[in-house]
Amino acid sequence: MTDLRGPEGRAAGTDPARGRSRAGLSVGLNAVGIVVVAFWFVRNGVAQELPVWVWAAGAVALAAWAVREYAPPRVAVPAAVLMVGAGSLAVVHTDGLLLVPVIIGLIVLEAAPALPVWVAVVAALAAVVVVAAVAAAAGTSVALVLGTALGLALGVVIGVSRRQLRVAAEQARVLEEQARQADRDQQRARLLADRARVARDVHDVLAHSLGGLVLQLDAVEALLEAGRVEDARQRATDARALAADGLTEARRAVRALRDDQPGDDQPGDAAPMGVPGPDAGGVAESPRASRPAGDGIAALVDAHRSFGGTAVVQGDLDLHDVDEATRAVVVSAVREALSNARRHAPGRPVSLSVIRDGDAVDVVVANPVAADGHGLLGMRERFAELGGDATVEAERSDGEFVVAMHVPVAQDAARPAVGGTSGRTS
Amino acid sequence: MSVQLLTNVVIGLALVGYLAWKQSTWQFLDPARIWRGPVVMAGIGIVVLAQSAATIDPQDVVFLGIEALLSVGIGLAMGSRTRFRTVSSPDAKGRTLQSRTGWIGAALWVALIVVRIGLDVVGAHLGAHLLTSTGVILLMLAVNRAARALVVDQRLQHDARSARGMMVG
Repeated sequence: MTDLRGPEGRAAGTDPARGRSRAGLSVGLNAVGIVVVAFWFVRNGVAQELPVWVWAAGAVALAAWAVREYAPPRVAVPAAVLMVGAGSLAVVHTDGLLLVPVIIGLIVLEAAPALPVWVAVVAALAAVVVVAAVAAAAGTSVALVLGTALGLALGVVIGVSRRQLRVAAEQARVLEEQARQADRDQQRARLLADRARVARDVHDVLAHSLGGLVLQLDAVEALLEAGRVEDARQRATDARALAADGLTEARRAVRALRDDQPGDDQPGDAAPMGVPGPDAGGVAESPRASRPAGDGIAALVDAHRSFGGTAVVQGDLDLHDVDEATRAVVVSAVREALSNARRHAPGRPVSLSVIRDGDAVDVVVANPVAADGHGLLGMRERFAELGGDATVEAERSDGEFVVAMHVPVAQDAARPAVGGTSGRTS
Repeated sequence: MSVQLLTNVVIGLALVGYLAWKQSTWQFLDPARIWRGPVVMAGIGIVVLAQSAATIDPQDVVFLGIEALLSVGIGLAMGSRTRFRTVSSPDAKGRTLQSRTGWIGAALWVALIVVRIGLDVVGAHLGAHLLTSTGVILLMLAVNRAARALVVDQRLQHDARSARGMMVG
């Protein structure tokens, strides 16, 4: 017969191109069906001299069929009801010809997702009653009535199957939408994680250089008050160098963050937090904000001393045995610890020790007074991102504030080192 | 009134009494077996109808159709009147879901039977003799139960879907 995809079926198609071509086929076949049924209806009707009401019912059913096919989807259901009602009146006198619009109307009713399943069943029963009543009045054999009933049952069954296809398509659409929503949520989480990282980097760079600058300028003020102009000039020069370094670092940080942006689409960046992979890559490729200009703990200690601080250090400050990412995190934690020590315990000695302990390295920074703030938070976050065995503890202990870091040795440096620590003591 | 018609009335009254009582009290409901009753009844009805080997004419179809419409309509109304609850202690078969249609459901049953008897009388006068056969009675009851089962089934599925939706959302 005809392809019975209704207008609403076209709209529900998931593949637009396929939906269009099938809809086109449906429109064409329905047009052919309407023309053929109308031709035979008129031809046989003229030959049999049908009563006027049969002509009227048949015309209404065919018109409703055309309306169902070519008018907007919202009139599809009323048109289908007309097709069933008017068509079933004319079935007996047209020898079953107008059964075609009745069956198509039933399929439309059964397949319409907005209607309950039973509507088409009730409509089919009503159509059978109408056909049987007309047949009884016209004295037609019962065979036509029973055949009609079978045809209508077939229409309902086809409608049920089409309805289930639509339900399945709708469920597929809902699932797709849920997947898209999950994707959006994931992107948002990634954005928030990125923001936290940016905040940390900005804090590291600015707190370090601006903090040092304040100390230097305090010293300059004190020296000027004491009349030691030459020393003050020296301090001012140092302060300028520090400010220039800070600016450079800030620029580098901004550049690194900007360069990171296209990398958002890389699979590495999509990895969950705590996996060292993406961060390690990022640190290895681009000089991150957390890397000081002078590089390494030694440079930080030198800077600390140049700010007027004292430091007692012990162990291998170059951290030869840990990988790049871990070293960057340790260095930034040491910088934070030194920065805190200067801020909260100016002039007091800071002790810094790096001790190789089997497969791990312990880095401990201790100063007399406790401190807390965003820096410590960032420090903890960084270690959490490293994952694995890397830990940091920052707490008050026996009147000192101790930052103790415990990081694993890199794979290629895992062989036990004799003596554990080496040189570089002051 | 023929003997067969009288028999039908007695059978109908017995069924009405039994089912009206079931409708108005809480009964355990197994959603997986909701269609069993209608299918069994329809099967027996068709077998009985086939054995009676009665001839059928358009008048019969008219009245059968009207009766079927009535059965479906009342079945749908019963389905939508049905209330559900879950009990904490399952029965011997492990079912916890219960349903009840209430006194309105029982009244609908009575209305169905009364109209059916009226149709029998009118149909017999108009030459529709098939209506009074036992097979047709069973078929119509099956249609009625099937319509109720359809609505109940869909409502339970809808409830299950919205419960899932709440868990997801």
